[in-house]
Amino acid sequence: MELQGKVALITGGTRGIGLEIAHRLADLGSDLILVFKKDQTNADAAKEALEAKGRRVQLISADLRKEAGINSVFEEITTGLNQIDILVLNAAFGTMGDVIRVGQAAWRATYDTNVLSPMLTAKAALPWLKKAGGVIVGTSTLGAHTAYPTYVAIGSSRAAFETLIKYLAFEWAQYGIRANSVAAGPVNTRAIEWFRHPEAVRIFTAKKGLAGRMGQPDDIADVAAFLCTDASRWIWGQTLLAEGGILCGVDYDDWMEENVDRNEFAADERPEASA
Amino acid sequence: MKLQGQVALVTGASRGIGAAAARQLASDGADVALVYKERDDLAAAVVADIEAMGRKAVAFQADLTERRGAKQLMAAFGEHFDRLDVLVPAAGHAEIMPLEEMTAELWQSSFSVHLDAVLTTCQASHPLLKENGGRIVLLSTVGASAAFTGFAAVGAAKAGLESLKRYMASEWIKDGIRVNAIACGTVDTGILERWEIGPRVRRFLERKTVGVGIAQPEDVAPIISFLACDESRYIVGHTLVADGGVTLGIDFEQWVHQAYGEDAKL
Repeated sequence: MELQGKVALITGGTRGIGLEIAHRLADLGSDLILVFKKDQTNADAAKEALEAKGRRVQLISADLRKEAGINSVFEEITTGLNQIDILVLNAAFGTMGDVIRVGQAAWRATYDTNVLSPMLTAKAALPWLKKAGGVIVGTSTLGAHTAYPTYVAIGSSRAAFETLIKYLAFEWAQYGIRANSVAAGPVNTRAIEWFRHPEAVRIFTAKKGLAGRMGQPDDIADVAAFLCTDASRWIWGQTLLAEGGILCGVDYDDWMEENVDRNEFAADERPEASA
Repeated sequence: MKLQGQVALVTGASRGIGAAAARQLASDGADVALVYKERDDLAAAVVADIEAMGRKAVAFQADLTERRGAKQLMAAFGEHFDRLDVLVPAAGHAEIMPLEEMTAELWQSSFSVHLDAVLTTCQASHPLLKENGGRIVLLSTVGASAAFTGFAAVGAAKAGLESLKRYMASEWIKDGIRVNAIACGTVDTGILERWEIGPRVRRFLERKTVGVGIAQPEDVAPIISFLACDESRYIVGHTLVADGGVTLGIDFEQWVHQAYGEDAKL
């Protein structure tokens, strides 16, 4: 198994795409350090499932938006698996809202989680990654490449995040550290529910995306796992778009097809925008 | 194995990236049809390698830039294989010529082999590819989106190829065919020995002012395999840049030091 003896640290690794990546890397032989915010029951379940695959799993609960939280993670690692070969920067936070509606505090909170925290986390992981000739993989969103309704805070922060990953690749190539990201189209996770009309996202993605369906976490995890392995050794500083072909073009026929009930999206109460 | 029971067709398979792709796809379980233009000895060596892996391999001589080349190829292919899952049109050249000296011959030959021949090969393969949810992996170059000394004929044709990629991806997804491309940087396929500026390009890349060096064909082949396999199922119509970081950034400081020496005052 290609990743036997390696350790992967995954932020936001106990649910959604992060957990799916954990499983892919476990399947390839890697042990895991999973950082999560506060849902201990959920984290315990993730740990149990991964340990059943014969992997060592260290769970660390932390608030990565604070430097103290990040420092505590790396202190705990020294008393645990004490090794990092693969860093998966996956934790994300989103405040939904149009430019006109999104508030400064929510904007800052989004950028703290999606840009500042990954930078500090990567920096703190550097000594380990240097030793290992490590790999960094970030998970991003198609919303950094095209605009979605109410998505400006997340989309723009993830664009900054992808550029951060590019700079990590640029600056740390000298240590043999390879950094890339995968940008996901709409994926069936909890996060879809943040949208004002989750059903609109689902119908649109199934109709507009060439793949003809919503993404599943494993669609993205397989790409992330590829970026963690030697097969991708010549890919440096890139963002791989895994989005089912939404960006490819416009099919007027599909677009104009009037088989979507307009009343389905009649104005209703906007849920309070938050994660 | 990821491609067990499947058949791949690779053009330009007697050497370079095509040969590495053929070997890689075979090692992932596929039987392989190899297409070559001139070097039957080299093609035979790749066939032997693949047969040694326990896979079926057949080499076909074809000039795909000829009007009926692709159709004739697929007729011959059909006599040896009854299915097609993966198409890798890797045939191409990397001739360089500055624009003020550019000849119509080189310009046309580049568009002919990198664009026209790819279209006709994909068209001729389409009926078989759509039977099994096929995948097409195109070979492009970072020279399609950035200028590299003398590379205009290839770069412009490959930019056309990347556009063709989006149209094929869009029109043929209904047939279950998934189309993507890889944009390579400089790959050590013998071109550097042929170019007059080859030694300078090699020196430049080996200094690693930008990027991590010169790719071997074997560095690109696993990415071709990834795009040919189910793991990449949600990547549709995209180009994966695999250039070892050459187009990643510009290190001003190293640049100046290498041009003017370590003592250059900054």
